[in-house]
Amino acid sequence: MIPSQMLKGTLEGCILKVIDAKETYGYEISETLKFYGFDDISEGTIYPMLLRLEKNGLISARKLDSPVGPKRKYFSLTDNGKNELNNFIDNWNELSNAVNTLFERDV
Amino acid sequence: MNKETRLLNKENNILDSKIKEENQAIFTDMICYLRSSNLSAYNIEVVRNDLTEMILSAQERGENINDVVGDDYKDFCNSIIDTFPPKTVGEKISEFTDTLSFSLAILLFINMLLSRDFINLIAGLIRGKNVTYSIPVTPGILIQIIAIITFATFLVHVITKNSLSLSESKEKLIIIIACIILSIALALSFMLRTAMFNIHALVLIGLIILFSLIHIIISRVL
Repeated sequence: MIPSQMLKGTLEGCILKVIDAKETYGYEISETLKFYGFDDISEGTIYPMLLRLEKNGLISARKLDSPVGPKRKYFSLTDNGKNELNNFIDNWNELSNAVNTLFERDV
Repeated sequence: MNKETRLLNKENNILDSKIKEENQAIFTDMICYLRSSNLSAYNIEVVRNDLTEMILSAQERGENINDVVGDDYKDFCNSIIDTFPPKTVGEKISEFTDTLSFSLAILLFINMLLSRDFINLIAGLIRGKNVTYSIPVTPGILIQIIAIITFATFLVHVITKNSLSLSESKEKLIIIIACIILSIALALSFMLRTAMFNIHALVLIGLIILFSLIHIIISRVL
């Protein structure tokens, strides 16, 4: 399990990436994250982040009918969200390169 | 509650009824806790709508509320509260004025209806007699009104703020202590019956209408 402190800064970027792939809803996002190895990520874990991303204008939401149960909130990336995702990818590459380089060498 | 909030509240009331009993208690406690926070009435309804949708979908999958929000409900609610801006001073003042006006309108109305002088006034008017429009205001009435408003506010605060943390026994103890204090205040109010001043019945009715209007106007805007 990835410690929550390590997850904190990266999860929002990963959520943006999942939403960038297609318009999707909370439960599907959490299942996608689980599929890629983010264990213990429930819909409730990402809900406050989705609220924050929406409030900051990085994603937009619309209610659509669901085949089961009530209407679902579907999220898609805004232009600001796409820029934020690109920034995240650049920052992540820089960070992972630095960490990988450090760990591959004998310090 | 403004129109947008009222509509969402109505929709939520219908959706809530579909939540299974096993999830209902925790869900209600969470909403109570959110209501005690700095979230605006509209944002509470937005969150309530989202949570209801999540829980109903989980029910469809054969899961329960814990599978959705985890075991630490308070932490989950706090993380939601943190995403919204706190109420502004203006919103807090409006909310306080709204509650106070509504409470005063109701309590003055009840006191007026139960007042012997008001009953005599109405009876006299029906019989076509000469009547006095003065209604005495005693220190007891003022103590009673202040005690009831303070007690109700305190009770709502204790129940909502601690809905996710307080044990049932502690909650009962706090309520019993508050009830004893209220009883003393009410007993005192019945003893202090010497009139401090008189108020004209029409002025009293005017005050009740004024407080009701303040409540209606603020609650439509908030």
